[in-house]
Amino acid sequence: MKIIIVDDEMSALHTFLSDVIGRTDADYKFFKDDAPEICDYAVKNNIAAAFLDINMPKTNGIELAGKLIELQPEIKIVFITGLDVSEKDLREPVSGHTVGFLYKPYDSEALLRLLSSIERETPKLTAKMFGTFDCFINNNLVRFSSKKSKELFALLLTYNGKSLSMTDAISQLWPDMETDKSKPLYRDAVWRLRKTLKEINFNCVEFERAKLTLNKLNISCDYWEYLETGQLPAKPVFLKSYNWSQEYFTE
Amino acid sequence: MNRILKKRLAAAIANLILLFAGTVTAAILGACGVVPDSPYGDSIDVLCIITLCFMAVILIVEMVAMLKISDSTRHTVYIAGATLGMCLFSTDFTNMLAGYGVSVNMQVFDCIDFVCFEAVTLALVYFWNYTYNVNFSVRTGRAALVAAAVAAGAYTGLTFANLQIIALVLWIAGLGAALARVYQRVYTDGSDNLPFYLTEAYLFAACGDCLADTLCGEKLIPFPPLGFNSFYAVAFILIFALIYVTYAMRTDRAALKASEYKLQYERVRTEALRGQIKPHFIFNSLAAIQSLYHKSTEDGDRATSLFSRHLRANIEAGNTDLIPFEKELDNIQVYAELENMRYEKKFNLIFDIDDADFEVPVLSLQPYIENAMRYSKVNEKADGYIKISSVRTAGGIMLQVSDNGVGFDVNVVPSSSYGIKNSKARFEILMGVEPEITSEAGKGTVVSIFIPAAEGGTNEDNYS
Repeated sequence: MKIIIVDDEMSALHTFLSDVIGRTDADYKFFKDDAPEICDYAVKNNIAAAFLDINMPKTNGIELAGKLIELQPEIKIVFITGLDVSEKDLREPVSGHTVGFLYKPYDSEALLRLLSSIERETPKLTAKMFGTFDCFINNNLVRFSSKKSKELFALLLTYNGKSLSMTDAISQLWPDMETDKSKPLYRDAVWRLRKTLKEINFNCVEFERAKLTLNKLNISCDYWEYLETGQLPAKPVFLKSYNWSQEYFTE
Repeated sequence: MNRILKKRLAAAIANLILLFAGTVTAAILGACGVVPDSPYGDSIDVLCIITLCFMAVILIVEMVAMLKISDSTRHTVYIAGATLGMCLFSTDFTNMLAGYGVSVNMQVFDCIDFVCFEAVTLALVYFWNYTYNVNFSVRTGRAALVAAAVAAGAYTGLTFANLQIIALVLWIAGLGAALARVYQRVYTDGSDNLPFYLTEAYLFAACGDCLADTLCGEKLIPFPPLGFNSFYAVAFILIFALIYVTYAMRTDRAALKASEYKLQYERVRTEALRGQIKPHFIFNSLAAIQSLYHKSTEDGDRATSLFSRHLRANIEAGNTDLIPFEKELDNIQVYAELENMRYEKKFNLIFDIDDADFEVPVLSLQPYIENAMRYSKVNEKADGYIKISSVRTAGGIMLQVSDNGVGFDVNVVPSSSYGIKNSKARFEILMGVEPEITSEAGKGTVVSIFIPAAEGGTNEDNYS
């Protein structure tokens, strides 16, 4: 898979390189803003994706995207920009080919997520429930915006596709708290979980009033595997930091 | 005096002079004997026609000057056109024509006159409906037109049986029913009532005139010595003057309000921009980022990304008024994370969000967060929190920013805090709501903003 990166500033190209080095097996080609050279390369090579700066002295990234789409109808475009540009500023055919925006200075995680989504059409979430609980989206760690929203997601995974009601969630996550205090905290956790899933573009939870339901599609979870096969992992410590976990797993 | 108001007043005076110039001309012509008079005061009808010609000149001037036909002009054209028809086919006018030796079919003229009368009354109802924002559906409008057609048909049919008086009475009764809604609206809205009462008086005078005219035409009652239309024509001129003044007043008020609003808002927005990105915040954040890079590149990267998001939101705020609440919450989260990054003592931000489907002025909640830290000192408390909650109720959305800090004197802080004053001003100007701050020593502070649910189809006038 070939990916091109176009930016007029060396430092930007350098940042990109340091983020991707050794982490994906794509073939990267870096260009300064020389449109004829880039188009020439696009004629001769099959390019999967282009990461383009927008505001460059010799060429405009959006115009360049248009030219590249003509040459490579399957190409995916990501704009790396310092400007306040979003999907609504683009028109067809560029908007249809744009898979994301990276705003400078960007998170390397955001870049890696985009790369994964370019490599594979469907993002996959992996949940590690034995040992310390963590989630990965195409092998990149998911950063939850609060501890409780992470814990809530762990509980949802434990529910294994069954709906989780607000009362159940509160009684397990905040067992010793009065309801009028725990309800706002529950809603906070729900809000933050929703934000995190939106950020990683993996909408696997159906949010309803006082009820959450997990859609298991494209999620792999070691706990679910254990439930199906009965085979324990090497270190069978289930969700060790959460008090409620004992209810769901005993050796 | 305001420049716009001066211009409008000059235009209104010029137009009124033009209007009365018609009356004066007609009066002089009548006095010189150029216009023949009949026993029924025909010269008054002629006067009406001359006045209408001047009216046409005014309308053309307005159209050329404004390059578009305004709603007031459109209404004026309807009323003027229908009144012209009424004059041309009136009993007085046919009598005058008879004086010149032109004979016409009195009954046909009478029927056309009635249709014109209907058109005048309908146009007036539409005018009120427009002026007083009475909810007048397409269906009601169509019903009125059908009623007019039926009444006209009945009138024509009954004319030959000399019973047209029945159709006339029915039509006037129907109009009364249609006016009930306008009445209701005008009584609840106390402002522009005088023009309504005067135009209404005119309508009933015209109805009376038409009724009496018909009765005289049928020789059921004798003609009065001066003719009915004298009263009618004077009322006619008066009505146009009033319609004009009403529109001029309303337009001026709207224009003044709009220009004031714009000035005020520009000022508030500039202040908001100047107030938001505080230099000390920028440099302290940069220093914090620098120290983070010494500890861990990853944390440094994350902080840099957060800081750039914060800056971007602030720069974007320059060209935005209202943003979705959800986006505002994102901005607040970024801000809170940056603050927590700088301070040893951290605070919790709780998003108690029941509904996020509404808009708020951009960066309007951040000042309350800043305030909670500076005055309520939530970050100095072990379990200090700031809670943002939004709850949808039947009447709208209750938005609250509360904290469990030490509280402060509400009479001192909001008036000294630039950010809060500005946020309040933007909530008031952009949304018409007023944030309310209550604070209790030792217990904390609550900022409550109630946003009423948008009412469907607000009937705000759109004068540009």
